[in-house]
Amino acid sequence: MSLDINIVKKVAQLSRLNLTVSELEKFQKQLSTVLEYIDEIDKLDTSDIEPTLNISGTLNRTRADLIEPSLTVEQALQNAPTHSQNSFVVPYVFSSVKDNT
Amino acid sequence: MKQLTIKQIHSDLIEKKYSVVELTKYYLDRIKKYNTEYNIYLNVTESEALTQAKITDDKIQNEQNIKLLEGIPASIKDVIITKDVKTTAGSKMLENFIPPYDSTVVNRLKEQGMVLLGKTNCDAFAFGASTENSGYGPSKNPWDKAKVPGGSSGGSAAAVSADLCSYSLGTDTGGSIRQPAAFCGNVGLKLTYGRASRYGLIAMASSFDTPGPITRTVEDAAIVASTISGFDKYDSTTYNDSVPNYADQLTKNLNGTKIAVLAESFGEGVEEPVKNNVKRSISVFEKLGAQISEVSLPKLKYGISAYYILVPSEISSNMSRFDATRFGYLSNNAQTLLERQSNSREEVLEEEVKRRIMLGNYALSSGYYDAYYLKAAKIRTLIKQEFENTLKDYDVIISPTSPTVAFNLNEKKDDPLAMYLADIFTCPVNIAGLPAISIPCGFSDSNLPVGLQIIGRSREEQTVLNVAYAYEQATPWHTKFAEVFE
Repeated sequence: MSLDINIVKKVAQLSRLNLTVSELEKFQKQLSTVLEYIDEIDKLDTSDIEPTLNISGTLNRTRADLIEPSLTVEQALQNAPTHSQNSFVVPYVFSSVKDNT
Repeated sequence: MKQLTIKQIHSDLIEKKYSVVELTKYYLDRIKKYNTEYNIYLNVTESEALTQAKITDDKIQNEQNIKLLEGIPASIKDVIITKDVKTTAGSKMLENFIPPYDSTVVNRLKEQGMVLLGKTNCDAFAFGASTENSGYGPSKNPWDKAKVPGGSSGGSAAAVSADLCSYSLGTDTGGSIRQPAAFCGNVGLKLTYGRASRYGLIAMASSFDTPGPITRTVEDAAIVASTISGFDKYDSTTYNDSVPNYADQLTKNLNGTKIAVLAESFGEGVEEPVKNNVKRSISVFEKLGAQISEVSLPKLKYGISAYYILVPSEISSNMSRFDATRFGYLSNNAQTLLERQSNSREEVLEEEVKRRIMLGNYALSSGYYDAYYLKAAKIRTLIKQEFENTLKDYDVIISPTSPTVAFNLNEKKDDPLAMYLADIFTCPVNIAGLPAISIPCGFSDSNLPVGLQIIGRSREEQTVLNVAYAYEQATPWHTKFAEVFE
């Protein structure tokens, strides 16, 4: 069962990976092989089985809403590729804001 | 000073046979001698190590008592963050990342006076079983430098094997502590999920990741396990049970212990030396007074499929944080937000990292979620139940840790599926969240170590450690060291 290259492109976009043409082709092949192996899961009847989504057995832990010591602003920004004053700096998300339209 | 255990060092220090500084220099000199060839350490923290060593030496000089782990030089896998010490996760994405805080497990070891020698190599973001996916080159197996040390904690296991530290801390998501320990002839302990905090582990799969020790002996693993374990307010998946002194409670008495040998241990795909050494271990357990039966767990063979859906799914979510905003690499070739994210990730993420992100996003995407992620989560329930049912009648299950001994560098590198199948005995344990240990149980004809895996009930690491300890003390494997490093 070979993955359609358009699906691979779509997944790459969801993954925020600007893959090259040769990477897309390589992953198409490799992912198809892995998914073919994984298709064996269809053999198991799981119609009456609940999924396991919590493996720790612990449930919602809460604490009092009190301020505790945390990172300083300098520490929080120390690995940021671009920062200014107290903020991380990123490009505009919406072009309409940037162009004032 | 060769191949010393924690208690040996501790008593030597108290008796002033050598100082902590001398011991630290012993390891640092060996690292200088062997690290270029074996590529075990990514970062050696020489001055930090000597500073901490001097602090402990001063205490000893002043006749003050020192704790058991105080002054013991150790290494930490580079997916575990260390304050102010560069942490790369074995990836070019974090080539210059300096964590502003310590992980809980490192913090607990530092509180005991650990001497940090440095950060060890691993597959990038811990994705792999050979260390060949590291952005900084593979590490080599101290038993044979043409072979892989295993992965993803390959650097940690090789460091202990090559006597470049007394013990190391790794992480295990599908076998990444146990399998390199098996390939390098060490003890590798995976704790029950939630026993030790994941706070400060660079996250791979959040419902699978567990930090744990790689050591020369079972007793050493028990000592480190007690230190790093316990409830942590920063990790809501840790549980409140008190932490026993695992080392003090070790016993060699296996009378009445019921051991299930996994029937699938001797199936197709398991190499002869692995089968033979695991078979031979059965008679050791019998002599120790245990009752042994062979038991089949047929659902385990779906473990790889379930694992390689669930884990890449969790990976794809965890890897989203690398978007060139708060940390990590930023491309020079990006104007828009989309380019900034997509180009930065494309330019530096290693191939296996990209592959797992892709696999995960596919399995989670609309139209595929039910068939893949949800189905795998149900198989997770089936595998967990099968283990739990078996462990009602038996105290532990034993199997090989890996179907093969250490394979050649480059042998499986271009075959992702072949690499994934290396996890066949280890990953079901993470699926179920159980504790398990790998201990050496012999060698192949080419003198490569074989690892035996012992799996226990949830939260019963003491039983796992006891069975391992009894076996270890009745066999010579923990006294064998790689020739190059004698």
